[in-house]
Amino acid sequence: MNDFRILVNNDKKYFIQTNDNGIININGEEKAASITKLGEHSVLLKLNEKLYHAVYTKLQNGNYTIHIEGLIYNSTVKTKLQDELAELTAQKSKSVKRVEFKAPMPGLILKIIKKSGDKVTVGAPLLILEAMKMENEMKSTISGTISNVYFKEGDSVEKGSTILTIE
Amino acid sequence: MFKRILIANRSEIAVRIIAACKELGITSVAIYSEADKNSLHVRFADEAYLIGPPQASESYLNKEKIIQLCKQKQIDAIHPGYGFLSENAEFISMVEKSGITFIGPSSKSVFLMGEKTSARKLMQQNNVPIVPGTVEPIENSEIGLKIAKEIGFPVMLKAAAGGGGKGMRKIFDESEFESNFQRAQNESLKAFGKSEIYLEKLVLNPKHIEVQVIGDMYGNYVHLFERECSVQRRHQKVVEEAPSISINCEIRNKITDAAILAAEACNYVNAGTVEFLMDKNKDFYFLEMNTRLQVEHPVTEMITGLDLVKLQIKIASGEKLDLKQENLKINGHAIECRIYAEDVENNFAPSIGKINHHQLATGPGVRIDRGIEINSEVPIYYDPILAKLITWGKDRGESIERMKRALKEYQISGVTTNIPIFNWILNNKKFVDGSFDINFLDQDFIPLLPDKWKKDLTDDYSEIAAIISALIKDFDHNVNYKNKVSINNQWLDQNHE
Repeated sequence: MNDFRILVNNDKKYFIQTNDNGIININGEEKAASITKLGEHSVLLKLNEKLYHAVYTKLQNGNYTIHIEGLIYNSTVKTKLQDELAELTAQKSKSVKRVEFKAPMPGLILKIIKKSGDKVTVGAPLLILEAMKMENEMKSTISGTISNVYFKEGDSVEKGSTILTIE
Repeated sequence: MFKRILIANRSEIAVRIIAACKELGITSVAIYSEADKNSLHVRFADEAYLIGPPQASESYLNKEKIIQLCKQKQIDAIHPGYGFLSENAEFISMVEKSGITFIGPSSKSVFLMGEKTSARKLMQQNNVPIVPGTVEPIENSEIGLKIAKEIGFPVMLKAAAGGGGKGMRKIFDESEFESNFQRAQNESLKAFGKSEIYLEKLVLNPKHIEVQVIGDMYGNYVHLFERECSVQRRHQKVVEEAPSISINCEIRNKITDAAILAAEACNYVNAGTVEFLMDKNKDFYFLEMNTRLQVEHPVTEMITGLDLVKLQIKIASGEKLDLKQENLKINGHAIECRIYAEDVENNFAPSIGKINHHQLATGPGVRIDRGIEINSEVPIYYDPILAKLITWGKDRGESIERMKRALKEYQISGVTTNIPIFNWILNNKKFVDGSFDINFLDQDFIPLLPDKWKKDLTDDYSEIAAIISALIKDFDHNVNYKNKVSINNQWLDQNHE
């Protein structure tokens, strides 16, 4: 038996307990649920009498991308313990917020607009990343001060590399 | 008829052209860059040759190398597809001189239509309505402002050499004119190497209606009706359909007549598309002519039952057009959704990677033109189009319902795709009732990014996604546990021996 806390699209939270007998408890309600793996990324869910064919990609740290019926959902799965720990740390670090700005795709840094020490507001352009011949302006998602810039103009970055941090 | 055709392109359009070659009994010869050696077009072709490194300028845009290869491999004709060299008058002229047939119009027609002011002038002379404005480049901003005042604001500045939105500026007020003029010139110079700018009246909230025309070498022309492509983002089409919901028979006759006039004016041979903007009063204006096969050609094929690529090849080989306008009819309705590898939530950033799951949509009225297959790499170097999903129905309603069904079936993973946004578009009231125009996505969808558009969706599978994630996590946990147990057992067994 496992006790999971699942956040979908950073919006809806579900409490799910799984059991060996094919019965799950979701937000206090019991349902018959079982999955059949159809392929490395393909899964069939039987939920009570209904069937759902989904495609999933397992990412790091308990994150999943789930495709169902032409729509995409991002989920984060934590065990009860992990979830409680995360909440504790979140409360502690609330005073100092630090956001790592990661490359959303591999590409070439054409231009770095802001430098270390610059103040930025939400939506402020940070840098221009070239990928697939398109110039993509990357914008800040928070307001704060740039604390570190780890790359320079002309550098290539891999997807997920931290380009700069904002505090 | 040709024996060997080289396809100077990649991805879904190369695959599409190979299919036509095969049906005509012609050997299809593909070219590929180092990034494409396992791509689908290479797998489908009869022969395939490496043309160069991944960068398009070194491979699919390398004119000399492509022509040299054609000579080495006894190629009769080149099909350029769309994009890359398809509208490059210099390349077409090189092909013509080398004695190889170019499957498309002459370099002269392409040149005439490529220069936007000369094209406008030619259209005006041939009674094709153009957007009010200049037919010559404007010398300086003072003269420009004077003309703008004459025709009335708002106006639009455009690059004479232009296309794709570069060097384009909308101006709503006199005070914005001077600075915008300079910026348009600079942008044009950067993008096209020429700073020439012309001016048009801004057509407010227009629809994009285009007409497919086709002509042979003997001066015979037919049109294959219109397509509506008003669902656009930054001048890039996203959803296309045929016929248009916005015009009746009377307007259809007028606009298709104008399209034929446009084609005749530049002695056009082969398949081409005349694009128009249509305002709320159903007055339409020539926008430009695309002198090639269009991305969205399948919707026309679906409603006419014709194979446009085969027609192109036959016409290029010197055959007479065997279609009579009076025999052509619109049969039903077709819609196309362009499936791109892009992350809509992240400012439409291109997504690259390896396709690790690919389930096609099938069944009545569904067609997929694709450049991918399971294990295909989506490289960073090219246009991020993955596939085109096309559905046909006896009427618009049925084609939309089929599209919704097909979008639920079509599964791609490994890269992020734009599939989810079509659910929003196809259920949107403006799309359904036909009142959308070319600003539809920019005004109604883009402000809902990121994530807010999802609130409009009637389907919500959040709970299902949560359950699946939990059960996968559970499953993986159990597998890991069992593996550990079995490894421990092995170890025990070994120790016993």
